[in-house]
Formats: sequence, structure tokens, C-alpha cells
Amino acid sequence: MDVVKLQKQLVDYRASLYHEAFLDEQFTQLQELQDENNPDFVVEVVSLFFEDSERLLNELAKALEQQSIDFKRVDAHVHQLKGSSSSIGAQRVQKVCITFRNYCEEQNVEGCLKCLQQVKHEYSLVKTKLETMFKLQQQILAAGGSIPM
Amino acid sequence: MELKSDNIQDRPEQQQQQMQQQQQEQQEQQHFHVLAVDDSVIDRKLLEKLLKVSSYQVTCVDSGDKALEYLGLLNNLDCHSTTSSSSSSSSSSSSSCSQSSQQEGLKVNLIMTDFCMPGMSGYDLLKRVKGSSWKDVPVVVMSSENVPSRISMCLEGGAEEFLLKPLQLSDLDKIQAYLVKSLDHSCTNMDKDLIGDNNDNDDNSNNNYSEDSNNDNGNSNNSNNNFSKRKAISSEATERRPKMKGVAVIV
Repeated sequence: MDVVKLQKQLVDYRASLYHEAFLDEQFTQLQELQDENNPDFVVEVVSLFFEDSERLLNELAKALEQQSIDFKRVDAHVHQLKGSSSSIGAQRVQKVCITFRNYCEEQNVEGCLKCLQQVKHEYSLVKTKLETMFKLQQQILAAGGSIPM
Repeated sequence: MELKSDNIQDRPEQQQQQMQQQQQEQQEQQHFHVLAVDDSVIDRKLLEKLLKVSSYQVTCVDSGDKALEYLGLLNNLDCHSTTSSSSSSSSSSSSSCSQSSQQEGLKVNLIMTDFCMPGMSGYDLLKRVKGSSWKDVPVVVMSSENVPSRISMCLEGGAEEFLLKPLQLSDLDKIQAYLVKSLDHSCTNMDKDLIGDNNDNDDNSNNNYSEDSNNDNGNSNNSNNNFSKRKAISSEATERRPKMKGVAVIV
């Protein structure tokens, strides 16, 4: 495939992720920290985010299944998820976490369950988007091109 | 140090190269060392990268307890302090400290800690550090939440700065100013230590004790003084900044 075409595809795709608020300027900061000494930095951080989020989503599901829900515990997990999504620039995930925490404070079970579904959905969306973007990058590199900034 | 001042060009080339290499190595070793404390693996990775890109040495730990362990402050033992009031407690602490070889020559120029951590909070860690022989090391607290009462609590507790997460490269400019300030402290401490080594134990503890009591008297004025000091220092640091990274420093 034509390298130039791939590069344009990547640039457009990335722009759309920002435009649709899947990513925010914190993701740009991550990219700016990457250099030749550590060319996989962004992929590494994002992979950590995927692992960590999946763990937290499992914990959240378990905590909300309990007969007597420990809202402090639920809130602690959401707080972590909010922090990590903010650190990598996953804006939509972060936004749901804010709403989620409000429901925790109100001890609103319905609200919390709704938010859990929402955050799972947003997480799986951003995961797919990022994986697509990384694949495009790999294709460009494989074709001998460089990743446009 | 006098040897290196004038006549390098007069010395044979091999020796010149050796000396230059030694100087370079010394400069590398003189990079500031930051102890980063955060329970989030993602934030640790991010912070480590931010600091490394800015040419700092970094050690990351995932809890306040691990930070205290690293500093030799676990179990309320202060392995660096010579102000123990009773000789028996100092001998027991030194026996347990001899096992942790990290203590010798351990240099920490800055501690950066997350506020919200399970177990010991960043604030708790701040207070422990400020109450120890590491009290002159600047501590920066980070948080994802912008809570004014939290911020003032930390600043009043002795934190140099409170940074909002997620951190960016621009935040590290603020940190540079505190490191310059700490340089002055660590140089002074080294001089004191050099003097202390020549005395026997009793004299040593007497010197430090009087130092500490002076500091205590000054504490109530500290928060007022720090603001004006901070502003003055940061303007100095801005001027120095272009030269910072090349400076060979004795720590």
C-alpha cells in the first residue's frame, strides 16, 4: 500500500479521535515524550492502561454485584480509572468516571450500574480506536515510511 | 580541584582525555535524583518519562511505605540522624541500618508524591519526611483533584508545590527552581558532615542538636518567608536555566 496514502489515513484518523473527544491534549503530551531512545513509549503506556482498566472494570462489576454494596470501594476503583484515563488522555472514559463518582457519593445503585455499562462501552470504543491507530502506524513503518506528527 | 584549573593544556594528551572523561562522568553523576511515589503504574511510568526527558535520575516506588523504606525512615528509625537523645537507641538503629546499604551516599534531591494513595497518603509521607533528617529535601505533592483546602494543607505541611495531574513537561520547569534551592542545602549539609567526621560522636550530636533547635525557632516564620524566598529563587533559576544542565555540582 502507498506509504503516502497510509500516512494521510493516519493523520485523518488521529484528527477524528481528537475531534470526537476520544482523545485530548494529554495524549499529544504522551506522543511528545516519545523519542528514538524509547520509540514504543506510547504503546507501552497505553498497554498498561488497557491492563489496568480491565482489572478495574472487573473489580467494579464484582463490587456492584454484592448484596450490600460498598460504595467507598466502588468509588476508589472509579477514582483510579478516572486518574489513569486522564493520564493518557482518554477523555470520554474520564468524563463517565466523573458522573460515576457522583452516583457513588449519592449511593445510587441504579446510577452506578448505568455508569458501569457506559464506562465499559466508552473503554471498549477507545481501545478499538487506539488499536486501529497503532496498526496503521505499524503498516506505515513496515512500508518504510515514518510516522507523521 | 586545584589541579584542574589552569594547566590542562600543558599536560600530556592522554592525561587530558582522562581528566575530561572523569569530569564528564562526574557531571553525569551530579544529575538530580528524584524519588517518585505513586500507586498508579501508569502515572509512575509517565512521571518517570517526564523526569528522564528532563535529564533527572529517577527512582519510582508505589507507596509511602516503600518511600520511607528507601529513605531509611521505616519503623520510625531515622538512619541518617545523629540527634538521638540516648546512645542506646542510636546504636540499635545503626545495627539495623547497616543492613540497608542504600543509606551510604544516598542522594535524593526531590521527592514527588501523589496525594491519594491507599495506606499512607502523600500528606502523611510529607509530614514524615519533614519530621526527619530528610526535611530539607523539597517535596512536591501531586493530585488529580483541585481541592483548595487540600492544596493549602499540603503547602502548610511543608510541600514546595502542589501540582495538578496529569503532569506535563511545562510543570517540570517549576520543579527546577526547587532543585536549585536544595542544592544550597545539600552543599551546606556536606560541609557539616565533613566537619562532623573529624569530631567524635558527642561533638557531632551537639552540633546537630543546636542546628535543629535553631530551625525549630525559625519554623513559625517559615511559611511567610518561603513565599518571598520562592519568588526570588525562581527568578534566579530562570536566569540560570540555560546553564543548569552543564553545571558540575558537588552534592
